[in-house]
Amino acid sequence: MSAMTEADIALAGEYVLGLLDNAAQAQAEARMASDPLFAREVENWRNYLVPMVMGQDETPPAFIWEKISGTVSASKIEQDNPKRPHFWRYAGIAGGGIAAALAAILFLQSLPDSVPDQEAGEESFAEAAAERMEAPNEAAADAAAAAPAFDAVPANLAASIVGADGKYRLTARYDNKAKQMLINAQALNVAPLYPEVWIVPKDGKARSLGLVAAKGESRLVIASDMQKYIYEGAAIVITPEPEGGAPGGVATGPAIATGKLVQS
Amino acid sequence: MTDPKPDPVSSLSEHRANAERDALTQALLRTGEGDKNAFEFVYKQTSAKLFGVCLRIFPDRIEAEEALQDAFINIWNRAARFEQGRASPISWLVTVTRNRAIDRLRAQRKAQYEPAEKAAEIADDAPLADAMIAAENEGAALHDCIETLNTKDADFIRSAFLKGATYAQLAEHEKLPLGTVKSRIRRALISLRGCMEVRI
Repeated sequence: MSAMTEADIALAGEYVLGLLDNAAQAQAEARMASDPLFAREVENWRNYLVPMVMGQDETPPAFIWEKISGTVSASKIEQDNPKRPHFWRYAGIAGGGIAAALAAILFLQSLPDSVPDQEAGEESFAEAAAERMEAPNEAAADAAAAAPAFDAVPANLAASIVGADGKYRLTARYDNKAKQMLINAQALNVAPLYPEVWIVPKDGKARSLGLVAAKGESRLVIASDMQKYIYEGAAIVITPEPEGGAPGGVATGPAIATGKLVQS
Repeated sequence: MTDPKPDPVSSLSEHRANAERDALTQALLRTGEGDKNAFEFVYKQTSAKLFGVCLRIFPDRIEAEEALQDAFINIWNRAARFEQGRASPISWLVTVTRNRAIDRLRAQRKAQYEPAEKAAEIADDAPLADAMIAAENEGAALHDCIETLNTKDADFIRSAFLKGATYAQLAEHEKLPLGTVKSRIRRALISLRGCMEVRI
């Protein structure tokens, strides 16, 4: 902790304006986690700048709430469904071991595409994927095969998502009807950061699905423009990200666990 | 928001603003636990304001409507990350909405970039809800403080926040060296911060 210098004040302002590159952004967020004065300075800037983006209040048309409500309502119905204990074990065995390696290949293939975008986040994915290629993943595969089932309706797709050394383990199930991804984290502690889930479809580009709990079940409602990326063979990747998620929708952390969606 | 300062003249409306803010904070926390009724309350309380934010970033109504839907789905998914006491609920909601809308804008725009100039003037004629006393004060302060900056520097700041402009895009558009743009914006931010501190 330290008193705020002019450079700190400018840095916090640049952060809120979204002007920092990925490396600087990640550094700023690490500092927010450890330096309460700096975190407060960032919050000050948010409060200062928020009025700039406030327009005239306008009541949106009624169908907007109906659409939002319809999308998030599905999660209520699901909680009342009986347990389905058996499908996951199968999905885990089918998808666990090779998934990580396939995901890594996807990332490596994606590298040339990502260059024109100048998105540093994609580079960090590719680097992490390259490291993963060399890492032993048998332990991870075992952990995935042993992953317990969790409650809900039958999903159309499922993935076992594991880290290179089995340190991080979680399962994902996609309910195609409810358009929801159910994430069950067995071991995903990335404190002081938060685990963020990404879908990486065939084009190799990572798209955020949202932050999830480090332990237990989380439900991610998949936005209409993201549903098309969720299909068999698409990879799911976890990165540690700051509070509120990767800024600008670009990953700042390395890929710590990967898995591939398979039919369930 | 700012530390509350006792002021007998505005204490009644401040009291009301605080009560509304507390209700919104509680609703947001319950939304984070998956409470749909609480989420509906958040929507009812804030959708007009957040639609205003989306319309500011996307003047096209259809785009703004899609951005608003996206924003609320994001709010539902991320509400569990809202920390009581850390941030004002309305600042948090506006920030989530702004960031999601800027993501959309950047994805559409790719290489194209339009600077925010006249069209992005701060809407000082936009009446804000009575409950948003603090935000209203800050809105007026921001407007006045931005006015004190060099016009070009003010445009840089607006373009970044409202259009998602990067340093590289600003430098290219202005035909200025990257380092010049960076140091100008940093100086402008320090001066803006100084002005805001005095005003609020």
